[in-house]
Amino acid sequence: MTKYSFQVNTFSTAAFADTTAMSNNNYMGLQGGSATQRNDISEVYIGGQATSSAPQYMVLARDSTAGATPVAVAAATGANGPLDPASAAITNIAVGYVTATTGPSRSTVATLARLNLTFNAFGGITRWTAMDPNEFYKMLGNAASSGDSTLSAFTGTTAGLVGAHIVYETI
Amino acid sequence: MRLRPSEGRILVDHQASPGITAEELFRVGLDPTMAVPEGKILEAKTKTCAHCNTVVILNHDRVRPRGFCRKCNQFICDNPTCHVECTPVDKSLDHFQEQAFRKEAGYNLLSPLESVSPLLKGQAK
Repeated sequence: MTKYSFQVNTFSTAAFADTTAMSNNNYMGLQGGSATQRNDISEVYIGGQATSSAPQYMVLARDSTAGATPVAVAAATGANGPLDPASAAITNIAVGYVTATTGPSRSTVATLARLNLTFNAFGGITRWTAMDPNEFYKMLGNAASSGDSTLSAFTGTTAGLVGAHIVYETI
Repeated sequence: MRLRPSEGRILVDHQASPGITAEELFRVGLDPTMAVPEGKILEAKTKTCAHCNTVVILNHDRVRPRGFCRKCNQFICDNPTCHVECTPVDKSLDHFQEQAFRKEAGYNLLSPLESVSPLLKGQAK
C-alpha cells in the first residue's frame, strides 16, 4: 500500500538498558495505528550530528512495554507522512513518536527480532535497507511487543546528536 | 555490491569519522569483529529469518551452511528455536491479524495456531 517515512531532524541519544522506560526525545518510537494494522519497516537511516566522538549502539527493537499515549511527532521535530504525495490518506496512520506519558521499554526477550546499527555519531552514518517483503521488519497491531518498536541507544552509548528516518509500509 | 532480491543491505560509513574500534565493541558485549574503525566502510548483506523475523548480518567468511527451512523454503537464523518446527512469521501475522479483525467484529474466532512464530509467542492466539 502506501510507504511512509517517519523522520526526526535531530535528537540526542541516551543509553537505555533493556526493559527501562525511555525518556522523552531520546528515542524514535513507531506504534501501529490500530489493533489490526500491519506495518513493515524496509529502511532505517541514521546520520551522526555529534561534534565529538560519540559511539552509538543503536538498536531497532521491539518493546515489552509500548509507549503510553504516544504523541505524534510535531512538525518542528520531524515528520511522519507518505513518501508519495499522491497517496490516499489512511484512517489510522501509524504513530511516529518521540514523547509519551510513559516511555516505551525495549524487550529483553531473545527471540524477538532486533537490528543493531552501531556507528559513531561524529561524522558516521548507518543505513539498513531491505528490498524484498520477506526481508522486512514486521509489526502487527499497536500493543507490545509486536506493535511497538523503537530506535534507541543501548547501554554504553555516549550521548550524541543524530538524525534518522524509518521507512515503513502500512499494509 | 550486487544483491539478490531476497537480501537486504547494511552500510556503516566511517570515512569521515573516528569510527568504532573492536575494544569499544568488546567493552559493551558486542561482536568485536563487526568494528568499523576510522576511515572504513562496512557494507554487508542481510537476511531476515522467516521464522522469528530477526535481521541477520551475513558474515561473508562463513563456510558452514546457513539455516534453511525445507518446509517453507526460506532462510532461517541460527537461533535453535527457529530450527525446532516450521513457524513462518507471515503465517502467524496473518492469523493474529485475522483473529483481531474477528474479535472486533464479534465473529467466531479462528482455532488457535498450533505452532506460532517466536516473534508472536506469548500473545493471545
